[in-house]
Amino acid sequence: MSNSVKFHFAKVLDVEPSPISCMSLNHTSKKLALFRGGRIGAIEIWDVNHQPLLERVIFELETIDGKPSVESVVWADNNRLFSCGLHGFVVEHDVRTGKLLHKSAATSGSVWCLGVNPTQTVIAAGTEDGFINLFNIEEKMLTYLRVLDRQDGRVLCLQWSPCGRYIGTGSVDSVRLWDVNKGHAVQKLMTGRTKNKETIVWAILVLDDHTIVTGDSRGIVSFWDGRIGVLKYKMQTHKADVLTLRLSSDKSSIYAAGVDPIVLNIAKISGSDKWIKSHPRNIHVNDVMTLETYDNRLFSGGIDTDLAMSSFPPKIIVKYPNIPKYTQFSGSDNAAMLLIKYAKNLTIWKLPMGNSQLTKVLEVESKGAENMFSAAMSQNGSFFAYSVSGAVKVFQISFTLDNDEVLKPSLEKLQFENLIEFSSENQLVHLKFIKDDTLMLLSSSGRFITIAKINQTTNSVCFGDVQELQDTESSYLGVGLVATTASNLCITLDNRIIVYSFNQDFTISKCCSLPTHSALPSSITLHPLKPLVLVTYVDNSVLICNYNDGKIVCQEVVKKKVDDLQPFQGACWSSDGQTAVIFQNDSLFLLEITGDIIEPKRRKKLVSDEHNLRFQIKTCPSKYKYLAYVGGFGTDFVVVEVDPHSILEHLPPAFAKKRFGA
Amino acid sequence: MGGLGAPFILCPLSERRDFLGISGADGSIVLTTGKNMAIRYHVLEQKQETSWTSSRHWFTSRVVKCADIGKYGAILDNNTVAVWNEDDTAMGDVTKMKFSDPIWELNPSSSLTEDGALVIFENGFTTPLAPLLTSDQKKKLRKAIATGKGFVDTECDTIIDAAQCHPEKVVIISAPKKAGRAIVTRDVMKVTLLHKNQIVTQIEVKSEFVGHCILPGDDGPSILYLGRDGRLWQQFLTTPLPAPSLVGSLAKVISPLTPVVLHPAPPSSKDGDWSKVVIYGSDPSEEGALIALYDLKYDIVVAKQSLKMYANPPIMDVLGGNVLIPVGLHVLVIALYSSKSRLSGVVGKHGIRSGEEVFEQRSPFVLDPVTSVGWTVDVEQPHGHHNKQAAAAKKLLRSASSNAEVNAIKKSFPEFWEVVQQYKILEREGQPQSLICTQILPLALTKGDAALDWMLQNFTDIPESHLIIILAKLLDNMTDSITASHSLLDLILSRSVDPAQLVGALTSLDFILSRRLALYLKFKMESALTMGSESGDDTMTSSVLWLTSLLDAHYTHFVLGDELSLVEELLSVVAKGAAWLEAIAELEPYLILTQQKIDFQPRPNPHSKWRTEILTFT
Repeated sequence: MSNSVKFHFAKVLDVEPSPISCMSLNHTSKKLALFRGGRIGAIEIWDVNHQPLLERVIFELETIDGKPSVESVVWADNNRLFSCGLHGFVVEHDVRTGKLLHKSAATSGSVWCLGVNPTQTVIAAGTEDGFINLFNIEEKMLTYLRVLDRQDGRVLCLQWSPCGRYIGTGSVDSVRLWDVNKGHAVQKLMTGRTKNKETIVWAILVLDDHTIVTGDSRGIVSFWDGRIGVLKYKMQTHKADVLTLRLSSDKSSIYAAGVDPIVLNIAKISGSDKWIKSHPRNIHVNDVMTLETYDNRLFSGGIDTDLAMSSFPPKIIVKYPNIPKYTQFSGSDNAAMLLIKYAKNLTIWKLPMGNSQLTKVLEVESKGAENMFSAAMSQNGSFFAYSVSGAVKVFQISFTLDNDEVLKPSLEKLQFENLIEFSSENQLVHLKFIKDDTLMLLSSSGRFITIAKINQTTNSVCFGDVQELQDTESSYLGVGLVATTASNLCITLDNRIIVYSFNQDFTISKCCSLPTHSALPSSITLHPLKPLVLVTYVDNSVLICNYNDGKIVCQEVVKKKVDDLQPFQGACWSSDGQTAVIFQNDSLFLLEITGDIIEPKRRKKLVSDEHNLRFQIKTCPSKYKYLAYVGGFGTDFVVVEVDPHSILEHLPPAFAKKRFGA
Repeated sequence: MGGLGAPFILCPLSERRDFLGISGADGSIVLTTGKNMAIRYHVLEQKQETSWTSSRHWFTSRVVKCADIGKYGAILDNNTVAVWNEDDTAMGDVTKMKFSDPIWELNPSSSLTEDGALVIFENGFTTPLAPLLTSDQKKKLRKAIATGKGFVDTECDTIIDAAQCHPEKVVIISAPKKAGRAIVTRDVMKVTLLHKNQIVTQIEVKSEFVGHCILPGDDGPSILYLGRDGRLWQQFLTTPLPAPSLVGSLAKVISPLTPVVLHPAPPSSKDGDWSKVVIYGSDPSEEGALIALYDLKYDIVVAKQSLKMYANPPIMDVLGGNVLIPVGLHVLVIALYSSKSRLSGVVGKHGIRSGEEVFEQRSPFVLDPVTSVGWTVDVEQPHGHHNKQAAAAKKLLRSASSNAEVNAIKKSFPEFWEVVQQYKILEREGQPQSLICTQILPLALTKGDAALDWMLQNFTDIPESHLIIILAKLLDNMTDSITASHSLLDLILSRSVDPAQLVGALTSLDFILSRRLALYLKFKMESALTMGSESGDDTMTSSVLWLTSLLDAHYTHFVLGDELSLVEELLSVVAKGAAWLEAIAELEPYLILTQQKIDFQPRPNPHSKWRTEILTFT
């Protein structure tokens, strides 16, 4: 039996292209850190245990001339994240709070590359002036160890040898192998030139047998013998610069890519030290800047902004489009309004009702271009609020029609009757309107919460006491997802899901913790009428749980095609609570409840009442590019869609290929 | 009309962002590729001829050949005019003139102007280069600049284009400055027409546009600009200033959402006038770029080519009959050429739009069984009494094997029984229809319309040359004033023919008869448009095909003769017909759904910001 549901698609999200310039995988926790450039640079943390899921975005980066600069990121010493850039510092980031922990200045100029030794105790940084700086990784900071001999020209890439004694570096026209203990270069390998044009070594690998593999600006991948310092062989793999090389997890393949966006697999002949060109992968349309491998999976990113995951065999290519995590949506169902929060501003859209048009009624920028952490709009559309570091702003919005029948918004900033103070590490707060005049503020760590009441007569905000939530102490990343209704709050802390209830006196008590699942939750949604929470996980599981008793009502793994590795992005219940729409980047699913939803009071009388509730997941054959949000809109749904062409048209020209007839 | 050749890569381009432009020089082109490098290439030989590098200064405009002084010149560091000899590759012996005011570009000399190369300052001041080389003039000019005297437009906005046009005029297009905005908006352009440093005309075009070019012409220069709605406008710069005229709509050809480059195509010896422009922009239907050669006179796209990539902002130049486009890391060359099929281009585009391709499916070497020859479905369509005759003939031929049957044929076809009898004999000998037709046609022509009608109805394979012979005989009996349809002519025109062979065969048709045929086709199309009929679209399709072939076969007569007005009339009828066919094609799926009594929802536009869809989940 089929269901027909009405959807309104709105192309209201402006996505700016943010190219991926570097990435690093933590092989222990399976967290992939990548830096996206563009107007708003940020480091993204992805969980790649199952289907890749964007977990956290770090905005607080070291800047140069007011612009964030990250040339390389590395993980070290169990979940510590370091980055470097043109500002000349090696910076450690707090993954949990997104704060910049500390920075260590490198000798002389910009830092182009970083490398961590195999024992995770020393970090090496290559600089503009040809120095390789070594830092000891201490418990809470980096301490300067020494510099190796200075070389001519910048150090563009480096990698430690598996034994931890040598460092291979690449620069203009030469490759060097350094003895870390002696501090001298033990080998200097000249790359040679083509048409007297200097050769830039962009990428380097040092293999177990001291074979040094380099990729350079001629499109050549060279294999050098690091022991005796000679070129073993080289192969023309690309028609333009090879920007990145990556060794597969089983060390049998090397992936190479660059300005020529073909990702080429260079395979090792078993039983020999010979490497040969193997199958290419056409994944990206523009320069590939960085590669990372995990088991059979290859992650790639570049100018075209897509994070791609590919594998062979079986041949699977999945692209995760650049729909920024910092974009938040807050729909006002009653007033037909949609709030979209970007990194530094928010927009409010009036959705069409009857003959009216879709209009952007308001755009608010944060003061001093501060990063907005969270934003929310009340259900009646009268109030909206946003939070920046250490501050919350609440506004009343009203509309009047001018002579031309155009909506004119008027804003009034609400005053605070009292002030609240979170600790320094909880400067950022999640905001949610739980009622039209009641705002919830939840600290980013998830430990502290307060309820603010809006006094509509005096147009002021009164904060309640700061309360500490139960069971929120030990969390690695802090609060991930937040869902609220008028009476309940549901949050995720790492892979735990906890439901709280708001009492009459605005105290908060814990309802239950949902059973933990091996995969991370990708969305949580509270039922509008019943004590049910709908959770989707990155392994395609869908779970509905009764949070009054903590029992799982139903659980199912959605069957998808083998190559459909997009995680569920979110869900939305219909107004009658009989159906929910679950969406991922490119498709929509409908979850339909076929049995009775049992009232909590009746439930106690039933022995196995959960069997009365059945649900069925239905699929829609239509494919979309790309879906960013689904929300309720009366009895229908509103979908925010991103046009991929709006991203592509801003990209620089790609490497041209000669082809027949063009 | 003209066409675009196969593209080839001329040379690599290191940095497209630093690319300053292309100029022509003695059959070669000069690419100012980077900030301090200019290279001259021979286009056809695809090789580098020479290069110049300024080690201490940066080029800020393209390097041009100043034909009047026989030297190369460019602007260095924004405010210095530099001139040097061709063999001075290291640019060691450069004549430099530094000014305090920024210079926009050095405009190369044109044979149309007396003054040769021009120096155009960013404030709009324009002066010939050659007199500057004498010290007296330089001093005078500096004095003039210092005092502000002599400046033609000291409040000139940001210049976006300039060209020298006949007669001895310089056109400067500028866009208004907007404070605080790095990108110059192209919403409004200001056009200044200079003559001997005096402003002749100055206009403001206040409509949004995505591309423009300056078009020289015998009637004075004009500005072509493409609006954001895809419509191409032409603004003549004559006094008094006329209103801009609409040239045509290019929305379906090129995407007006992204910037477009327009460039006039050099006039060929056949055209002799500036009637075509080369357009480079993004493809509206798919990803990538599109280059089109557009004829302004006939409002058609003569030729087009797709490229895989479209780069924003687009750069294109047309030099010496070659289109040059920097794409990715290369410079692409596409040759422009004049082709013989001028008028097929005029009418052919509508032929293509009609959506029907007629392919030759017959084989003269395969003889169909006698019983099936000539009585296929199309022959059995109702055609009045001729159809009854055909049915009778079919019946007779099936069983005709004796004298008695021959007598029966004679009785049934008293007027042309000999023709039928001869056909019967030849068919029994095993000859194919095309050969039989050759042998019995002369006899049939003497027997009148009935015999010809019988042939047309019963023969599926009549060579095109024979059809033209029949056509000539029928047209000969008609006059130029056509008021009614001719059933036999309609029979001929509705046959499926091979277009290539038809063009060849139509060349043998006398021009007077060809003109009459064209008039008849025009009449048929007009009546199909006004009256409407069940077979209206078939009539329209076949008429367009015949007209295309006819004009191709006699293009010299139609164009070089005095028949341009007729061609224009035909073009308007064909355009109307094509629009009609297009409308039917668009409606077809809905008509089919209506016929099948299936409810249909109009598909929402996927490009609109808000759309509603009802999705079915299964």
